[in-house]
Amino acid sequence: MAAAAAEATIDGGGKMIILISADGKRFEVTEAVASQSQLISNMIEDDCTENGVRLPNVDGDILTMVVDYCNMHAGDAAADGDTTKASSTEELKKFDAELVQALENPVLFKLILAANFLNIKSLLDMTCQRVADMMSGKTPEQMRETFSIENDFTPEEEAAIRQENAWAFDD
Amino acid sequence: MEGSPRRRKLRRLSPGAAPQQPKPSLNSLPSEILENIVGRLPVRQAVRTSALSRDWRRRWESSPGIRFGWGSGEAGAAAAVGQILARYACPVRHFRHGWIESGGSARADEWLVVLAGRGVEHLALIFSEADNFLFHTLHAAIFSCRELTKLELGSCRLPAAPSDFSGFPNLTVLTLTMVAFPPHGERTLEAMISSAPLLQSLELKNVSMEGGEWDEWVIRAPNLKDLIIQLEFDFLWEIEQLPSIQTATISVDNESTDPTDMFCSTFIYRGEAGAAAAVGQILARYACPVRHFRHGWIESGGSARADEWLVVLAGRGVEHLALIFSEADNFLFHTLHAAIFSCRELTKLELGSCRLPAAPSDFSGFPNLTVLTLTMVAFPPHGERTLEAMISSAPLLQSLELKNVSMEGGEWDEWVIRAPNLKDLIIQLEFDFLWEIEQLPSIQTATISVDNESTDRDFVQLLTCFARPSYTEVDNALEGLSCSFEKLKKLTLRTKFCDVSNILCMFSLLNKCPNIEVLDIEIMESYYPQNDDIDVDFFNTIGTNDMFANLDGITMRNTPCLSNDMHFIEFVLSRARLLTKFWVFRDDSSSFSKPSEEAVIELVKYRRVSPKAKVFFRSMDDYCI
Repeated sequence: MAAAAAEATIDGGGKMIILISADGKRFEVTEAVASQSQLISNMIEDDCTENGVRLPNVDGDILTMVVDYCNMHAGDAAADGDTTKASSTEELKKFDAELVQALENPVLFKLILAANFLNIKSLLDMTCQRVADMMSGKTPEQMRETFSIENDFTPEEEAAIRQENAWAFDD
Repeated sequence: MEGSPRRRKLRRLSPGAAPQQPKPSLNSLPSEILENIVGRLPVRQAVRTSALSRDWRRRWESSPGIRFGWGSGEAGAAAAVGQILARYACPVRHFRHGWIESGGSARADEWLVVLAGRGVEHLALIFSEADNFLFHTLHAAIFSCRELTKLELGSCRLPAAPSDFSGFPNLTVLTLTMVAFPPHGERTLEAMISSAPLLQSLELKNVSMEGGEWDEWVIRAPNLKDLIIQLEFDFLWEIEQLPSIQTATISVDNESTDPTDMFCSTFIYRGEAGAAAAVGQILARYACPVRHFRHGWIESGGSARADEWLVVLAGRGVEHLALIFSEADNFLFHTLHAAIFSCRELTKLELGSCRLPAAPSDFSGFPNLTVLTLTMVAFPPHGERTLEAMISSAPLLQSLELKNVSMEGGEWDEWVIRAPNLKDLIIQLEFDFLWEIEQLPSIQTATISVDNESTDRDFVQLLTCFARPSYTEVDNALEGLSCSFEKLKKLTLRTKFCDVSNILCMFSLLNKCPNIEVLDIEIMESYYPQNDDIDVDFFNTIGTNDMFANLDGITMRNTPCLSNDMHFIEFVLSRARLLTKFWVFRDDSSSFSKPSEEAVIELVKYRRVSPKAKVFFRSMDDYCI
């Protein structure tokens, strides 16, 4: 995958940047693709990407997803006035939906953390929204189960909380 | 999602990243991210997270972005709203309450005060419908919500804007349904709209203004794309600048008699000259059929535009079309685009102060037309053919008004008004364009006047137009009517009594109206002396036996009370067995008129066959319509 990504970006134009994951995998991407990450964009401005960008808290498989995502969305910011992008907007939505819905919780959480660390707002929005969507319509018990949250309330405390906002808890 | 995911996760995670935590909790994410997530929830779900664990107890209170929304099924939550707002420590961007019961109105005021301080951007307050339209008046804090981008209000009353109201500079959507304004609230509404330069969507449905008087006010919205106005009364709004408009639905119901009008897309443009420029754009962008189109005052500068509208309307199945042009200088009327003849769906057509082109050779008529009203409309030479075709191609025509219609060129062929279903006919022409009436079996009311100053020959012609062959009983010199007006009950005639020819014409018409109940005669040119003297025997000769058999009331205006008209009165009184009222209004302006005293003395002597007949003798000064 890493090799494929490196080949695919040759005609993207602009300078290439090497991203290095925590487990040492290397990804070669164009500046345009990489600068969707505000963190990397700042580093490009500060000229400290010469020897590759080490991302010590992003695993290789997570970084693969991030790079895929950034490659797909690279046109976004650049082609604002381009109306011929309409069909590819549909494609993008489909890509995003498939990307995020297929993820199991641990991967989703890691992707959130990566998006947060790299400061890729659209990816962070999308992944956080995915978690919010998973919460919607669930009772507290179901939310705890889905997200492995331990209930540390005493029964009395929990009853008091539910009582306080009864309107929010009756189904 | 439950059970299997864990196993699959183990397989999917690469061997390099060995999972130390088999069950990573959402709690492993930093709190700023958790707040990001909770902020995406609607308020009910966000508050539910407080029961997850101690860490989550107050997380929602510091999660920015929560959408506050309550619907009609959550009336019980009204009491909690204030408390929730008080606990929530972040700006409230979205606040919607879709069903505020009347008991919760006071609370709504408290919310508004809080929301104004929290930078509310989307605000929707829909009150349950009040009894007797006693709407709750919103707190004036509404006018302090400067961050608003969307505002939707329903079934409530807005106070007048405070004098320091500085507008909603970011507002893009304004929706008011059943919203009442205090007297002169049009000023507040105008300020709300014009202070919102970014406004894209405006909906005003059943908005009402208290007090019976309104000043004119203007909708000025340079970025408005969608406009819906549905009002029961016209509060003198005008449209000034809508350069960005894409869709518009406008219906003002106070004129409409047809209840279905409420559901049609109606374009009504009153005197707002500035709107003319917008009309074409609105039409071009409006994607639906345009059933009703009315422009009541097209300035001369807008004439070319009217042609563009017509071309569009012809393709949109326009049914009710009214185009009234401002009066042209020197009667240089704008000639309408020939597309008018392609509007085959027309049911009502009203044109004013314009010129019709000759109908194209392939004109196939207006098969559904029921109402045709032409006022100050000019036709090209031999336009009588076009007019004839318009009328005779409309078998459903019920109402025909021709007022000051003119034909260019000095020559006309005879032409015929043929309308089997015509009920109401009004013809007021300055010249007689040789029109004739052939078949009007359904006629109920008719008002006909032709003011030809030149000779009385034309007036004779007018009535002989009614008088076609078959009238042979009394006077072979006069041709009778080709049909009788069996259903005609009310007739207004403008005639003269000075010449025998006029009187013969009038009688040839009246003889064919056996069921006439109300007759209104206006005497023209009563200031001329009589040319022929006619006695009551002559009237008896030319009138049929059942003439005036059903006459109930008759009014004669501008009566000079000379012998001819006095004999006519005598004749009517001797014939009309059911007559109850005979009003005679004497023409006091003419020096020829017989003195009132003499006239009255004579009137009293006339024999009345109707026991109930009363004669009222008045001066024209007392005549008022």
